[in-house]
Amino acid sequence: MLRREGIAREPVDDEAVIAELVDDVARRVGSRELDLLINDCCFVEEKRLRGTKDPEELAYRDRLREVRRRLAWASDAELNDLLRELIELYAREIHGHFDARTYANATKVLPRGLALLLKNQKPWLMLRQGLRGNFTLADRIVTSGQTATFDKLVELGTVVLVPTHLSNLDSPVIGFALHQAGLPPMIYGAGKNLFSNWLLSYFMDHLGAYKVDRLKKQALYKEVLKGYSRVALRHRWHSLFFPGGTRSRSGEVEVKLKKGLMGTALEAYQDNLRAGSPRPRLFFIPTTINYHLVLEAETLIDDHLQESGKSRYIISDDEFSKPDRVLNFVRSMMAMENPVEVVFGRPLDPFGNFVDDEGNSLDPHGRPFDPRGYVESGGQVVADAARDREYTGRLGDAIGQAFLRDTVLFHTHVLAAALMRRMRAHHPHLDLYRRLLLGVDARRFPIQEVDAEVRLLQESLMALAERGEVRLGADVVGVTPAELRATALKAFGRYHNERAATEREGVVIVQDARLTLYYANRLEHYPLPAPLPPGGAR
Amino acid sequence: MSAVVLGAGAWGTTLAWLLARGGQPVRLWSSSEAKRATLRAERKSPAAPVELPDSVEIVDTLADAAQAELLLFAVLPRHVRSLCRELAPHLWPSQQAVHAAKGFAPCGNPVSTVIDQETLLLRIGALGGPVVPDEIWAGQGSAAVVASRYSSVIDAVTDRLASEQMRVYGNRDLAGVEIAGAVRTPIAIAAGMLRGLGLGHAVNAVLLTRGIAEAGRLCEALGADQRTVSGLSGIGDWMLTVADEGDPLVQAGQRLARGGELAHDEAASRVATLVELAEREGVEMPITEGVAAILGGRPAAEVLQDLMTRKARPEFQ
Repeated sequence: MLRREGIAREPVDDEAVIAELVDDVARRVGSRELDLLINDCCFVEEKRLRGTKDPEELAYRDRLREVRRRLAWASDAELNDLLRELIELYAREIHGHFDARTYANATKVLPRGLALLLKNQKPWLMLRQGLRGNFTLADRIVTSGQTATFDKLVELGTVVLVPTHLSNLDSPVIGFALHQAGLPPMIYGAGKNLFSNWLLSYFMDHLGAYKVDRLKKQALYKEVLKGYSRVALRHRWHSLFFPGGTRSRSGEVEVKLKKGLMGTALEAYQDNLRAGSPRPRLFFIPTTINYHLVLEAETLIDDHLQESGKSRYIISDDEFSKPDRVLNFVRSMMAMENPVEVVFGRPLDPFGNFVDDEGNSLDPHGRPFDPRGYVESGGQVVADAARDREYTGRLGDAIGQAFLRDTVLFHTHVLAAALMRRMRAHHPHLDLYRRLLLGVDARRFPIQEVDAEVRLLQESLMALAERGEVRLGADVVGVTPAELRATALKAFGRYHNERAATEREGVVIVQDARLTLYYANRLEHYPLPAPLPPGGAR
Repeated sequence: MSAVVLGAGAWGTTLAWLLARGGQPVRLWSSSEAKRATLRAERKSPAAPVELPDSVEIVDTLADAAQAELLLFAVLPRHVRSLCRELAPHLWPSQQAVHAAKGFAPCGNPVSTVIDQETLLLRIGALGGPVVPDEIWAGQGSAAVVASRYSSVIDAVTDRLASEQMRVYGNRDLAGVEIAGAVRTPIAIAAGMLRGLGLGHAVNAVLLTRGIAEAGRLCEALGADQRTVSGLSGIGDWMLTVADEGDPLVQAGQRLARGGELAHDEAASRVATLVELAEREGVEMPITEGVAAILGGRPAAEVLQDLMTRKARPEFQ
């Protein structure tokens, strides 16, 4: 028996959780053709593990081979046994990697460790100093938004935190933000690959992360992951999902979200209603994590362009796959710019309606109501997977809108957007990919022209901010375009291998068009006027 | 499942009449006190001279009207928002709603979106198809399509509405059915104009097929299924319209072609909304834009000539 202090209010019996998970998943997939499901699972995994030398993986492969041998002659009852065996295998893997004892100490260790990270400490220095130090993280990570409501909802039901995702540092940042706001920790699934980085692994272990093996593509494993989420939510373990699924490659605010894990909340809500749970409700807290500079910006935008631009982009950019890029990336992990702003948004129910302080769902005019009618008929919960997909889609749209509303735009985003818009104004006949390939002479703009574009963006964004459609950092509001330009250029020079842009002799030069695009993309989904014509005159 | 029809025009009253057959209870609400009094006293109205069975209950307040599991909106698109705002305090989440409005709300949103924006209802659908109230009252058959992303809405409407006289098809493409219904207005006005200009069947055939093309483009832009335009709510309804001399929109088009006034504010507003939507989405809708130009004062013959002499292009792009 393991105590999951901070997450669960009562001691958790791990064997009981695993048994519940096996029953849950077996019940949900039981109506499928089990022989095909099991065979797919074994086939996909054996193929993946071909040539492996890892003793643990070899033992796993042998076990799958044994399952496949038995599968050929299995009766219906034996098929069920095999299914439950595999589910249990994955259930133990997922649940077992979660170390609650170290997690209990998370809030003690995290702030100091994260402060070191955000203070651009070199790894050798961190090792020499250990985790000693006297850093005030509170002035580096600013937390704002609906923390008081969040605090109440934690007591009224189960909270699901759904943040934007830009960087692998998001998990420790959000962990600290929760601690700073006096909110309880969350459990979440983190990719197994992240644990291979010693530094990230340290924080992951302390943040309630359980390992998710993204190399396991078989349907059954994904069902067990969803099942684990359902079980956790039924046990009122407050959870965190990154609804974008992965880090935003383009730098854009995520508005199209993955619904798999989000849908488990609605299932858990219905399970709670059926079981007569005293606190059946679930609340989603859309959260934005906002950085001036993003640790992995270069890698992410490169991934994005190779995927979306296909051959047009790849023509002359294979240099980005050189090993020194990888080294630069590892080095950059130790050097992140600050500050970071975390905004906890207005809570939503699993149907996308706003929720008040008392946990009531609100209609569009702010009248409270109980949402159970969405899933009940005649007082009974009615299962309807297609209906639930629609509800979850609506929730996804509401979270996407919240992300746009609560995103904080900083000077780096505004200057980058101004520069990309100048490139578009000067080369309107070229598509994005060809503009990115332009020579440096075509990426030079007089500061007056850049400042005029910055002013246009400041005015447009301030109008949006006044309507509550976006948030602006202090370095965007109340500064002149020249001041914004100067501070943003300075910020670009602090961290990236190549500066996104520089200024020389009255001209702003886009040095790294990809990087500039990455930061500019943060403004992508906002309604903005067309760029000024060449020359910058209105 | 209990049902209420909101709106007691010809189509609303016909819906109540269809829903009430077999003695099933239906509530019918009208915003007009005089109309409610007539319906209650005479069991029929000038707009719908068919006798309503006793199972149709005329209700005076929206609080009473809202006491039903299925709500059918049979009011003009521009009235839906205000109606929803008044209705909203009386609703609960297990209710389902369907509207029969053939047009977008003045803000450019589909009517289903307006219901979603103004009420707590989530399970919403739209009703479309070639239905002529007079023919229904005369006992003739027809077919309708009920569109919703929720199968429970399709099932509820089908259960209540389907009969030997009314065949009901389901469609998951709510947006497509709403677009097809909205494009019906410019198609009907254009058909009337062609009639007024004395043109023959060939031009009508061109109108319908190119109408499918431009409605299809709007479907694509708004994430709907282009095939829906070829169904009952699209070409099915439009063929009926083009052939129906008594259709008010066709008659309005005829008057326009002869230099008269449209005298149909609702239709003018629907066309303007469509043009704005097409511009916003970057969708080419030459027929709708042509009708809008005529409503703006350009001679119909001149607009027709422009349409016929547009740059040559492939039929399918």
